[in-house]
Amino acid sequence: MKFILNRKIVETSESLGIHTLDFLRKMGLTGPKEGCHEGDCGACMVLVGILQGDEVKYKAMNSCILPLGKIEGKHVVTIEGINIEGLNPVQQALCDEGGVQCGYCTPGFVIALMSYFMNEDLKDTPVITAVEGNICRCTGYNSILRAAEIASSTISDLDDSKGRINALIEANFLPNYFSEIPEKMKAMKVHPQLKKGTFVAGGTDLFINRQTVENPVFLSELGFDKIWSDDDYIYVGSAADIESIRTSDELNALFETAQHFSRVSTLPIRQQATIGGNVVNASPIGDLTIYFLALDADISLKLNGSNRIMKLKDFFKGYKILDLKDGEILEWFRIKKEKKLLSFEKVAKRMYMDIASVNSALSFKIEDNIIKDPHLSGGGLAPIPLYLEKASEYLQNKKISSEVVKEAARIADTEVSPIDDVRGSAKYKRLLLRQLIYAHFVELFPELEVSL
Amino acid sequence: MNDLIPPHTRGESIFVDDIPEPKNMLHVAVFISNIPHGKIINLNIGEAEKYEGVVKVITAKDIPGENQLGRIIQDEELIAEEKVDFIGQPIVVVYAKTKEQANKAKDLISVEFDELPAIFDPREAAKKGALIAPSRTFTLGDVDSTWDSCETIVEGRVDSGGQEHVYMETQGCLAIPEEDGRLLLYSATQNPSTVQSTVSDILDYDMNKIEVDVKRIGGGFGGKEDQATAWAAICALGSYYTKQPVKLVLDRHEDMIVTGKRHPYSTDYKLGLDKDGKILAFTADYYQDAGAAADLSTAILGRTLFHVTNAYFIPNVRVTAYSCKTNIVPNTAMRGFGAPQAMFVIECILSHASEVSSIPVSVLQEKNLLNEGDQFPYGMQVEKTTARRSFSQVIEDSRFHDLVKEQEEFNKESRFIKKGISIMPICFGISFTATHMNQAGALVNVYWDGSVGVSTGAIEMGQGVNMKIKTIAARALSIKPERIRIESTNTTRVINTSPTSASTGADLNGKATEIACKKIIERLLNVAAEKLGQGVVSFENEIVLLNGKKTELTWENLVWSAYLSRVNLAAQAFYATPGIYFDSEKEKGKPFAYHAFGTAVTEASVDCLRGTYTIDKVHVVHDAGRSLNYLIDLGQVEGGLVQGIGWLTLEELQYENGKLISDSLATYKVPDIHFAPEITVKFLEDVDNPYAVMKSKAIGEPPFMYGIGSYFAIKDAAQKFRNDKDWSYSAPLTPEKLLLYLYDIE
Repeated sequence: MKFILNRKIVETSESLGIHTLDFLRKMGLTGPKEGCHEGDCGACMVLVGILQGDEVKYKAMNSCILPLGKIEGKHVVTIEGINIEGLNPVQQALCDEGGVQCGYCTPGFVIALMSYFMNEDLKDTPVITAVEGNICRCTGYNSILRAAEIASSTISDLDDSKGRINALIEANFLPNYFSEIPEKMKAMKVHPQLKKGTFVAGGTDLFINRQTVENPVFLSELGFDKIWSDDDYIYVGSAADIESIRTSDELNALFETAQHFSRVSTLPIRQQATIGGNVVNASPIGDLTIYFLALDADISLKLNGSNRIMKLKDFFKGYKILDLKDGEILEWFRIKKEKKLLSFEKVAKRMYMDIASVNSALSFKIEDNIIKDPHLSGGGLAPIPLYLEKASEYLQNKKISSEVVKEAARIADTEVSPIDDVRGSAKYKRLLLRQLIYAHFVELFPELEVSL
Repeated sequence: MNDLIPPHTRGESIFVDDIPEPKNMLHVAVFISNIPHGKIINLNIGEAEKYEGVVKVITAKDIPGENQLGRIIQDEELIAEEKVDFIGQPIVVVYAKTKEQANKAKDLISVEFDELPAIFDPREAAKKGALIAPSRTFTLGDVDSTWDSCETIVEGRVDSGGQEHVYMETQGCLAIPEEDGRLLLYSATQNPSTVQSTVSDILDYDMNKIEVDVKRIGGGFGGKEDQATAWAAICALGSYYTKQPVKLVLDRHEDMIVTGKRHPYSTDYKLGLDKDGKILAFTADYYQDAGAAADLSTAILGRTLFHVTNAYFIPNVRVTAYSCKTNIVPNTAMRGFGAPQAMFVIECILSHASEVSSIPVSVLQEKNLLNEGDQFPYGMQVEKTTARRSFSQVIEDSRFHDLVKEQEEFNKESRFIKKGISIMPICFGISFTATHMNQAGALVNVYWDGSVGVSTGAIEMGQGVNMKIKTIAARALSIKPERIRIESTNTTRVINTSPTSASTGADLNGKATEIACKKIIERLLNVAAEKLGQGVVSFENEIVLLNGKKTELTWENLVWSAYLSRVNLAAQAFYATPGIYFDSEKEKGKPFAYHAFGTAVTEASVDCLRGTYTIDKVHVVHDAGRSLNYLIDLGQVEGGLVQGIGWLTLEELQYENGKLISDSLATYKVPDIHFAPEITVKFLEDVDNPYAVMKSKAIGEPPFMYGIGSYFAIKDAAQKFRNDKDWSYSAPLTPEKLLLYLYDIE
């Protein structure tokens, strides 16, 4: 396989399933650090550039959980490939503001901030979101935030007319060679990917702690990553990444998905992880699973030429057991294209970058204060992600009131069987479910006085 | 600014795992105990030995010297011989050509245990007499006869959890064999001389056959004070047997399983107040969860006792502390070293006493703050205290009283979001409490071109000690800092070092550096005097002055002249903190050179619908003496504070029968950027500290304890939602504990 690593094209016969971080460090690029090897700290971050037309679009990704095969034909930039002579304004601001202590996490922070400057609308997107996937144990973050804001202010009137990358080169944020990368990428011949092997979606769970698969076949390269709609439905390809879903026009026309998913994982993970992975992983606590259960989604399972369509809620048969036949691929999800009220709640120990103790989603339509077509889901409460059938049924045709909300929560409680684990005691999870059901209504109907 | 930082931002700074791997280097896998307590009755390593790529497999019987890690108390084997005492204890070590081969071979090892009953509760251990060392008691005044004169007496229990260090660079070492069996160890340690000495004992070597070199480490926080040694020893053993370089860098998961943490404590207390809120009497029993071996637990227990009264004066005190032996990995040093646990307890008691007496806690705190000359339970009198000054300053700067009113208004209007506030004063003793450790050496080399190399015993771990030493050397020599290079910490250049810990790194090593620099300046001035003839010679800003007037003699040509005159341009110096002592029979003395002070005001919001919280803002007024580097000291305050907040809120170590289940960064949550509060820090002015180098103050640990304020700000907010229920003083205050407090369910 081939890709561009910083300034040079690299060709290797290493297995496509090895971890990009390990490969980079073996190449002598020790700027990216190993902090956790599971995408939870950001010390290993690199930029991954993808050719789109005449431009290259860069994303910050955790190289520790990035299978090498995923970077075939792309431009991978480590901290070494960011360096110019002297310090760039991000590096300079980190030094000036005391945003660095031991220095181990620093290359990751620099990469994350570079990705922000390369992509975001600097006026609209707060710079804090750029580094929400990076852990620093020394500084307490205030100095990093100060540095990020200062670096940002130096280019507040950036002229994007010749493209952001060129503007950043001119502003001394990036080395000159970035301007030559699009041509280099166009000229690079990429081998067709494997046709046989293990299907891999995002790999953000499959590749943690140095786990790997033989001969990975990447679904995103097979065209499973699209989001589209027809007159009746919105379709989400199983390999669509979470960030694409979060920012999709189709979903945001109906729901506040962008806001709902802002606390799902972190940007680098959302750019890699997929909806299909989140569902097929069958974790009882997957945020997207819970979200789409409450949207009463259908799924399509493809085997050879044909496919079968079923309700997402019928897909889960037991702990990590799915209604999935040998060779079947989860092809897409679809939800009805209709405006509904939708609330998504998630409580985790840490507000951001954490797995939920309990999450829950609720959708319904409202006609004359009467609930129609309600769907309630809850995660972390059973061996499978739960569609709360009885509570949903109960809510149908009910007039919204404090009593109805409480009764729905009471019924939901009879449907769950949480266990004590690292994310909380069973007792806590039951209480949380009740509170999150209340929270759905408090959020959707702030004037409703649920007496607690 | 810290001049040593730019390479960090470019990814060019070298940590142990970044050192180019030498030829023939071997990798290590450590086979560990998966039961908390038991006898080894059968161990089978045959399959592992035969596995492809495996070069050597060792067990306890292969250790040529002493199989011992314990420094204070010799009670911890490097490799378990007959019995295991905790999950994570090494039993077999595999050395192989690749990491994968080492790991696969390790998986072929099998062991049979005769399991023994295990203890996980320190109180149960104390009851059964399973103590690491005899308990210790500090006494001041007469507690027993005072209770009768108290208006309010509160009694209760406080629990605080452990804390994982989460240094971003995990533990590791690279061992390189040299001629004559000598070994060079690149160890990620805060404590090179202990690595050197322990490894020597394990190999049955003289210390001069082991060289330990540390360029920097990626965070330590105490976790690499004692517990970097085992991994260095394992690498050294591999090199000893194979004559090949050996590297072991733990992955995060292994690191969390096999290394010790901050000690959990459980405490019973009784405290009495007079009607105005003056504290009259205080007794407490502290049960420390030491884990399965002593490590530094007894020293940590001592520091707990030294800090039971925090920044308050209490005339009658009797406190006893027990270091309890349990079957978890031996706990170890972590920022604050037992003091945070004690200070959390006294703040809980004041909170409790405030509820019972209806005197606001801020009034109780203010009323009992230390005054000049007040005595600590260990006999030392407080000197140059800024406890009151920082307290009143932060009340003013944070607009504390206005904030209380504004929160009241807000809380009236807001149904589910409630705001709360707290004040957290701190007083922290500076010096190693083991008096003999308060010593340091420095070696200053001036090359004939005028450039300077400084070596000390201090380890750079992000706390900026190297920049402080560079500043001290530049000032003491009166030359440009650019001329000075801080060398790696190396046991062949500066010997018999104390660990870089107890916040003393800059104090001790900086002072030794200053003394060495003065020796050189003295010699250079003699050279200048000889050259310039009569008059008063001095040196300032790189130029020799004669009778106060600049001469042609610059640093560079002065140094060259000195070389030509055969003057020694290298100086070694030594510093031992004067005036400190401690009588451990009487438990009285002057263990600290001085104390660090400051106060924080913390604002928090609680979402009482979901049981979640945010720490919104923290205002700090801190006494850093005459700061050697504003940015570095600011960073220590901000970083220490956020780590402290983490300890009391999110960071929860969870075990199942002695097995850590919060064993990754996915399940053990440290503060992220969203969780960090907005922090404002003001350093007190005109607070020259006569007891440390260039009138500065140590700053590594004290700010950690400002984090304790977060607990009480959350509590204050939660009790704005409900206050009809007894508060259980238990940290960390996780969202789970909070929600279960806010609502009663079956």
